[in-house]
Order: sequence, then structure tokens, then C-alpha cells
Amino acid sequence: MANLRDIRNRITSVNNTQQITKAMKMVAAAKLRKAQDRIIQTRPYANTLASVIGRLIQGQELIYPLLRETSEPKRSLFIVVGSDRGLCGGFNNNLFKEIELFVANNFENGKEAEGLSLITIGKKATTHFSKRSYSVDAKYPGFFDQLEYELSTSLMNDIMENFIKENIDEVYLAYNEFKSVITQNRKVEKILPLKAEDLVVADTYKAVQLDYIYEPDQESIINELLPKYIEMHFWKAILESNASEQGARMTAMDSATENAKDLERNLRLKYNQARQSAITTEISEIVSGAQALSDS
Amino acid sequence: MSTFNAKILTPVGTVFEGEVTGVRMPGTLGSFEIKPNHAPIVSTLQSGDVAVHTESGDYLFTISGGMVEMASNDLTLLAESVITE
Repeated sequence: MANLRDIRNRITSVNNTQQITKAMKMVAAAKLRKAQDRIIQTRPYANTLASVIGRLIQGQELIYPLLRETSEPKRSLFIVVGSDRGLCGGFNNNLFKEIELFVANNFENGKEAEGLSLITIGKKATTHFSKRSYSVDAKYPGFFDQLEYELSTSLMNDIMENFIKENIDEVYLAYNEFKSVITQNRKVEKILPLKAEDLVVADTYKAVQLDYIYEPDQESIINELLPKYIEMHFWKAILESNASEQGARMTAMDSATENAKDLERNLRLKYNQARQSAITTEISEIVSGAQALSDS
Repeated sequence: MSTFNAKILTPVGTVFEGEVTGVRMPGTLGSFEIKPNHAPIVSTLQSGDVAVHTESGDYLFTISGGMVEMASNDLTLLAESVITE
């Protein structure tokens, strides 16, 4: 039978853990709400931008640098959006596994493939891929500490510049898409070269018939809007990943709290059993002692 | 005085939305003002000041480039970043 004091100590420590996980869950919930608000706030801008581009490119022959397709891409870049902090379940690991699988399936020499490089966003992604001998071009640990649009645009602008200069042939973006609080969608998608089909949007309610005045002209407008479209896409991915992270942490901490509760209940049962048996032993000792006295 | 609906949007939120009598903005080909019933137009903008005139007063914003679309008395201005004054 375990020592009473040992069990009591364990109960206290489980209880403390439970309080920590509970607090972390509540913090994640508050952050999640904020993250979701940020996604919602980008929507009017993103939707208008997409529909304007969609309307502009209709019936146009598209020859823009950002749409440059290469038949045999030589240099590929992966942008991996992870998280800065851990304790969020399989949020990071599942995504990394997906990327590793994708790389193994699509590149001849796997991670040693020539011309394959990574940009890692978030501390967890940075340490994971640096340790595994991937060629990491740029690291952004602590990216989510100060989440600002300007930061993501300047990062994306560098990449687009390299793409236009033909230093990179294709760019993939890997992130967790926010499905709901408890589910994340792991996504590995190609963001450059842009595909014309992706730009066409179904929403053409403002009638194509409208005879627009273009200033300066249709082509330069499209040329200016396409980078904005990619910047927006990237920013959205970052925000979604941020929201997913909080959601993942919330569910992970919730089940941790539940587990701690179970553990505590079991320990308490054990503790009471031990106490009970200690009392029983004591009583029987007293009774037998008393008996011995009265017998003599 | 007739008015039309105007919106100023940025990637981090909506900055202005309401009925206005005119909006002056820094187009790539020079500053211009859109009044009610303007013909449909799409124009890119450079950095500069956007002045929004409403019946109850004027608002001034400084933008760092963007674009504007006006169609059927509905103006949408997309700005990369906005400083409100």
C-alpha cells in the first residue's frame, strides 16, 4: 500500500498541473477570438481585390511575370508556417510530416534535392527543419510575437522579386488552414507561378457590361494588383495558421485538463482507500491491545 | 446634394464606410476627385492624401498606394495602409 504522504503530494502536483493547463486553455481561447477577428477584418479587402482582378482579367491574354510557368522547375522554395510556441498538440508535427512526405514524393533526391530550399516561419518550424539538414534560406523565429501586415508583405515582396528575376521557379506555401476550433486542414499549395484559372472568380455581379475607364490602363493595373493578391493570400495563410494554432492549443489543453482530472480522481480514491485501511489497522490494533489487557 | 456610398478598406480592417458627396485621391496619373454618378472607373493610386467629403464634414486619410473602383455609385478604395488624421 502506497504511502499516504506520497499520494497526497502527487495529488497536489496533479492539481497544480491542472490549474496551469486550464489557464493556458483560457488564454488560448481569448487569443483565438482575437485571431478570428483579424481574419474577418481582412475579408472585405480580400474579396474586393479578388473580384476586381477577376473582372479585369476576363478575356485578357495574360502574360505577366508572376504567371511565368517553367516546364522544368529547377529551384523550388517552400514557405513553412509553423508556430512559435509548443503545447499545441500535433499542430506543428503533423504539418511537418506532411511537408516531408510531399518533398519525398515530389523531389528526386528528397530533402537533398538540388535547388530545394525552405523559409521557416515560427520558432518550431525553424528548429525542426534546421536540425534535419534541410537547406533553410531564411528563418523567422518569433514571427507571431508581433504579427503585422507590413512584415509579411516585405517577406513576400522579396520572394516575388526573386521569382521575377528567375532565381526561383516555383514557390510552395505550407500552413494549417483554419477549419474550426478543433480541426485544422494541413495545406501544401503552390502560390507561384500564379494560375490564371485561380484568379477568375464566379462573382461577376457588377456586370461585365459596365464600360470601365482604366487609369492608367488595364495591363498596368493588373500588373500592380497581382502582387497585392499574393501578399493578401500569404497574409491570410498566416492569420489562418495563427488561429489554428490557438484552436489546437485550446483543444490540447482542454484534454490535458480532463486527463489531469481523471488522474486526480483515481489518486483521491487510492488515497481514501489507503487512509481507510490505515484506520482499520489502527482500530484492530487498539481492539486487540485492549483485549490483551482485559484477558490478563 | 446627391451622395454615394464609399468604403475605404485595408488588409487589417475597414477604415471608412458611409455616404459621401465626393472623394479626392492621388491617382497614378494625378490627383482627381470622384463625384456622384461618376462613370465606372478603376484606377491605381499612389501614396498621398485621400480627402472624403460628407454632408457632415470632411475626413482626411493618408494612404500608401492602392486602387479604387467606382461603379454604379459604389466606391471602393483599397489601400495598403492608412494613417488617419
